Amino acid sequence: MSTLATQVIQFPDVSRRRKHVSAASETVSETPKPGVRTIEQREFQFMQVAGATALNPIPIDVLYPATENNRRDLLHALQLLPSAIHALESARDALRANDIIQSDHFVHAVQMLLPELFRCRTIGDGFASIINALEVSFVNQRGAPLIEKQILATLRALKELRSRPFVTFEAAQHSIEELAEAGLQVDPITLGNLIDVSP
Amino acid sequence: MTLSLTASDFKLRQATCEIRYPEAFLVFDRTGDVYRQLAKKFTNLHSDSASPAQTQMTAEEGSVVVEIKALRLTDNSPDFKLEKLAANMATVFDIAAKQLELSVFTRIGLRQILTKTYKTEQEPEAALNALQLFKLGDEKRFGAGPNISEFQIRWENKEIGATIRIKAENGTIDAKLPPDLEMEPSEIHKEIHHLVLDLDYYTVAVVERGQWDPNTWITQSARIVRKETDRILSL
Repeated sequence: MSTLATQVIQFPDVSRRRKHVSAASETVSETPKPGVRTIEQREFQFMQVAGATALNPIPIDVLYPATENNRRDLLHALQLLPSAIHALESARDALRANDIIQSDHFVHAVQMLLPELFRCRTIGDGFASIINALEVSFVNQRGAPLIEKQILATLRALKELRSRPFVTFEAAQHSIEELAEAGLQVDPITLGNLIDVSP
Repeated sequence: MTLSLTASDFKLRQATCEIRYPEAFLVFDRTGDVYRQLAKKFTNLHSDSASPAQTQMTAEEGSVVVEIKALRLTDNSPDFKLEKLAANMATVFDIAAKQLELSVFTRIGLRQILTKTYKTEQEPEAALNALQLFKLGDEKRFGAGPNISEFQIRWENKEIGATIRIKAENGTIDAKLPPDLEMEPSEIHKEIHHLVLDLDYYTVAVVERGQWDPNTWITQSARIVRKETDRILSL
């Protein structure tokens, strides 16, 4: 897989790709030179290696540069998420070094960032549901430290949000399911109690 | 003589947002669903042409083209900040991405066409050459005179790209009105002298669905393009 992916990235010469005749693109017709792949060939290769994950997606900071007068909630979230990710990586490393107290200290740092991230929920329903699930999970821990599996699931969820902040609500449910599978209680306990009440 | 122009000196005539994706064969099955859902959101939506590979529909919000490898929305009366196009593209995108199960985009582009009108045939070309973006001097080139009538520049890396094209354009519009209108004069003749500014801003690297928000990207890209264009034209 990695060899194929490397080939795909090496070959396309985007500066020479064939122009499509359409309203939104150039109307200049350019014949590709021998040995130069066209955009269609690039896409074909891209399909062969099982989808887009084989090619690196555009960095989120390139798509939404912080230098521009962009929407504040998005830029704020994109600034906060690396801090949370870094803290969780430190928590993971501390736990692997058998330093539970230090690990818990870093997890608390992440917990402190969650309300601020929740204020950025206007980004989208998917973003809001993941942050909400994390906040609820941390509260439901009732002070108990996270185990490595839970730290890793949280780390994956936050990294996913950092690169895909406009994740759809449906796709966000997969991340939340992963958190639940790691043993985190993603639903408010009171809600669970209400559901369990016998008629 | 050098002349400084800015994007604000031009009138925005057309704006198009296009997304391209690997073959979406669901176009053959679900374009009708896209149309039906869009008809609930857009005003006076009607189909201009419908073939298996391409369907074009028009509404007051703009014209939508759905193809097997691309989808685009064109607004022929856009506002300067492209807020209308952004909101309408968000509607089209949500419906199409869900119906056609689009998850990855090979190119997302925003194209804006702006014009500045002049009174005489010579003025657009004179204005273009007064910009003096290239140091070509007064030498005659290719036997066609020292003046340039069009130029196109492209910047592109592995992630993002942009093209600026400026063209001095002259043309005429001739139309005969139907006699039933009983209008005088019954013929229209108009000469058009334009400087056309064609701006194309696009992604080169693949974009995943969870990364792209039409509302955010289109309005932000409009700002980036205007700012950069102003910087280039005022060099």
